[in-house]
Amino acid sequence: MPTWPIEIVQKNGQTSFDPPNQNALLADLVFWSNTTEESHQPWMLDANGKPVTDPRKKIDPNKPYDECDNPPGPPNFDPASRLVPTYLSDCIAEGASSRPAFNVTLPTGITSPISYYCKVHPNRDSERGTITIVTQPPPTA
Amino acid sequence: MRDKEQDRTKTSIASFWLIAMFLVAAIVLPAAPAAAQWIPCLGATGDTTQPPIYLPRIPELGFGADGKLQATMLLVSEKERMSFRNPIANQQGAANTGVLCAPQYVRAFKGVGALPPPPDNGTQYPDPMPGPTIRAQVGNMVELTFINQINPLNFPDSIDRGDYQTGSGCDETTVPYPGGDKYPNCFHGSSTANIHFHGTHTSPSSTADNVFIEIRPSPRKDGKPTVTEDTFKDAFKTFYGNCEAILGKNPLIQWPKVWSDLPKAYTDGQYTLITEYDKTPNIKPLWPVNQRQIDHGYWPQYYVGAYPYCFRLPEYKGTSFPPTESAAVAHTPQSHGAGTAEQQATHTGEESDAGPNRPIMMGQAPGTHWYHAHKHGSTAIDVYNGMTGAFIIEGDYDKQLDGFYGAGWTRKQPVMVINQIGDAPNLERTGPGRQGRGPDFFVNGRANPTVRMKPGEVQLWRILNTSARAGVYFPAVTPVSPPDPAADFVRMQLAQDGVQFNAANYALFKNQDLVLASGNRADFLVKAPTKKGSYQTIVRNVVNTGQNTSGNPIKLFTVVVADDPVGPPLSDLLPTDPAKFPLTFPPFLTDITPAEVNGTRKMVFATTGAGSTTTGQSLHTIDGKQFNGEVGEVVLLNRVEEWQIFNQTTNIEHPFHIHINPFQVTEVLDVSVKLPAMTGTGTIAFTSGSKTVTGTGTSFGKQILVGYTITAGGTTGTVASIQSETSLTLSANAGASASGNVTFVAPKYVGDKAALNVQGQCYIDPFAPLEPAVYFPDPAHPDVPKLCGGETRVPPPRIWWDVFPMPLGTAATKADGTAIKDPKTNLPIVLPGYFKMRSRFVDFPGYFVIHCHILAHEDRGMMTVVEVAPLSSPYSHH
Repeated sequence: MPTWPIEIVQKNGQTSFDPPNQNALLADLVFWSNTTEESHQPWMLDANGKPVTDPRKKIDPNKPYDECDNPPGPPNFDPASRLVPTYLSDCIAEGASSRPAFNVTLPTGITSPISYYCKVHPNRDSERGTITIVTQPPPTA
Repeated sequence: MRDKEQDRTKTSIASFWLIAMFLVAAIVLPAAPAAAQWIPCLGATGDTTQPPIYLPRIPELGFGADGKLQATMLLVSEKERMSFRNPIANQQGAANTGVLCAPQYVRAFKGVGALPPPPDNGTQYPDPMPGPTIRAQVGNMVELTFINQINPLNFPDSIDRGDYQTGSGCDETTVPYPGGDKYPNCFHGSSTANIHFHGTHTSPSSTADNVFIEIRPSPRKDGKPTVTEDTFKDAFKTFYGNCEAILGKNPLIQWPKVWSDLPKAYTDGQYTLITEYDKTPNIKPLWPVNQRQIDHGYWPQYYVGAYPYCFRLPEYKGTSFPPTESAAVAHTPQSHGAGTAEQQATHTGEESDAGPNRPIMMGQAPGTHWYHAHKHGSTAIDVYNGMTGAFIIEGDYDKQLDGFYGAGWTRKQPVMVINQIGDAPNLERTGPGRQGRGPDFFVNGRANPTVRMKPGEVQLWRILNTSARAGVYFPAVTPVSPPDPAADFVRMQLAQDGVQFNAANYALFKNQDLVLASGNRADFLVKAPTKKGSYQTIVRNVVNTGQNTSGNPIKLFTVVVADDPVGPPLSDLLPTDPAKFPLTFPPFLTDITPAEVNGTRKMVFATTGAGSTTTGQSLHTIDGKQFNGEVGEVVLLNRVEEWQIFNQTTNIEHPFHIHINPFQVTEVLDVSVKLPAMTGTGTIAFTSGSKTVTGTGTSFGKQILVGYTITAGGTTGTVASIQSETSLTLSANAGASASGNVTFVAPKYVGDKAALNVQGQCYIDPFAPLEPAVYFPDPAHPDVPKLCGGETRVPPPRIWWDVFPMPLGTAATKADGTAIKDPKTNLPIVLPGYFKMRSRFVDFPGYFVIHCHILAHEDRGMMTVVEVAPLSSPYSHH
């Protein structure tokens, strides 16, 4: 199945997701590549526009999760805990691409288009995007 | 449109392999404009007046008159027009299946200066094209500069992290993947690469066919790679000069051997690049590993951006086999020209500065070989991306073919690189969203391309199955029906896995069916019909023999026979009379005799666990272990061994592959075979839609057991359980109501003595499955078991292979059909199929690998290391 890259770009002093809306089929992969000089973290929003619950299980409850919160150092979470349908990516460092890759699914309670924002920069209106789930066209005989 | 085209069809079904179609290929279907990301597929205009898509000629990198192949291979990432099956879960060739195309980033080999340039499709996205065909000659130096310019930003994060503490070390998706996979036997690190020269008989070490090295991508500045072909140009020139000087004298010398054999400008540059790379957050640093290896005199494993491959394709000079001592390479004392005195002192023992004083035992076989990336964890995705190419090694084979057909004939012949291109192009993973039995087969990057022939013309087809997963089943060539000799093709197999046939096998393998498993190659002489027309090549996608007939017919390519007919010699097949067969058989390829064998061993390939329905993950092992870098087998140099390779898998004929040395198959046992149908006592009745079968005068549970196939009145079913001598239940019943005398088919091999109730059955002890099968009952001596002897012995002269699909195993069940389980693991036991092979582990000591050539299995652990130990220790006795 196809994989769709979304670039995190900086233009005219504004950071944004390019394309701001990405069409995808269920089971496609979507990932983000960060061409800016800051870290970013795409984060899914629920039907009310609120960020979904963080699925990551902290290893040390008294420390932050990862480099987005407290660079540098190894992430402070059980890696398997975040491999769930609502998790879009870890924090993406400057010049890196996202991990894990987002396998396009519609989590319970989420409808297409899937909305997301940057968890690192929640107040930047430009750092918002959507993923629209499209249906596969019928095969042409 | 299809009906009209069919109306124009004048020749009825031709053969199972080549079927006259007289219609334009329609395998590439237009994509519906439902979503903006889809783009039109190649040939998707719907305009049948457009010319067909001809088989493109792959760009080539050739050798020079100086006996050297000097070239540069770039590895880049680019957006190509990739196609995906629609609906995705369908298998290729299924009804109502189309394709969708989308621009996708892939990793691709590009040959600098390779000619001819690939066709321009008029869009911004090139169509897939194999890596450049490399053409060299036996005896040539191969000097290939490899530059990794993949941009990791074009893919989800797949930087090699090693087993650093940041997680699993595997690629990750929210499917979830890696699920149960554990590093290093998981998909990972797909921006790292190397090159495996599949089919070459050369050193497995240092800069030759060494699959343990890993070349990380070049750093980038302002979006461009900083390591280019110019970066180490001068250093590599020096290195290649030294390499020629040393290997030119004797290809058996292990050189380069130590880090300081490389030019200082390169080693210093690599130190800088690697230590800079090591500053990447959350990765396992590479330089400490290299330093440790260098300190111990080993060849370092990690590189960044550029690597100089240098080796020589050995030429066998003897006129008979084994070679005489006088065939040993004459040594001329010389300087290695690099390295310190201390380091040169490591070249002791048999390897003086002039090299080992022994003859070449086996030269490079001239023929159709290939190359692909072989970095553990990303071999499958690289091949799915299209990172494969033909490596044609010319020799007497080509000269003699040209002698028959005319000067330069062989180089004009089609090279057909089959590959399943696509899958999940950016990040391999298990789980949903993958195409049934893998992506479509493409030939030279095209779906169902057209090959042109003239009436009666003979062509040499070099066909390479470079797919990561599936075998290609070519049915036998049979006469057309109704008979029309003018429409018949003839297909003579001339070579297997890059090793030519002798006259006897050439005559034997006429029009025969065959499977090209992943990694196999075959050369064919194909004679076109004299009747003009369009003929379709139909194949099937297989990973076991049962799929040879059950899979969907797939249009692999179309042959258009047109223009004026040709005359001799271009219309002549090589004569089958051995006295007139014009190809001389190299003496080093003489059959391995039992007397030569001085070692035997057994090994077991197994896939266990059906896996969850969400991830589909199974465990792939050799001798119960996944790959961990440990040496699995040790063989002394120049020994000849016979290996018995078992397959404890019931549905996958894992293609066994060994690097460096080809092998001959001598014996095959397929334990999934059935006995011929037998007539049972009584009559049975099937009821449509019901799994229950009732019998009259039958003896269910005694004569007919669980797992048998029963038939009456044209309806067939498999027995799932038995209630009484006159009542049983089928596993499924899709047939019509029927009744009549019962016939049944029993398995030949069983794992329970209580299940032996038919003459001809054999028993394999499920708790000692690697021991020979025994035959019960022997009417003469029913209490004395004897060896079953059901295996197929392959008579000489034997074919040489480097990939061979292992026969299936079969589940061990009790007489009542319940599984026999291993008391230690509680897993069902599989009675293994096997094949025996003989190989000469000659000429080149070192470390290389054996593995399953379903490359996802290799990436996930079905691989182990073979060490061929040198004849001498590095120490002197005086």
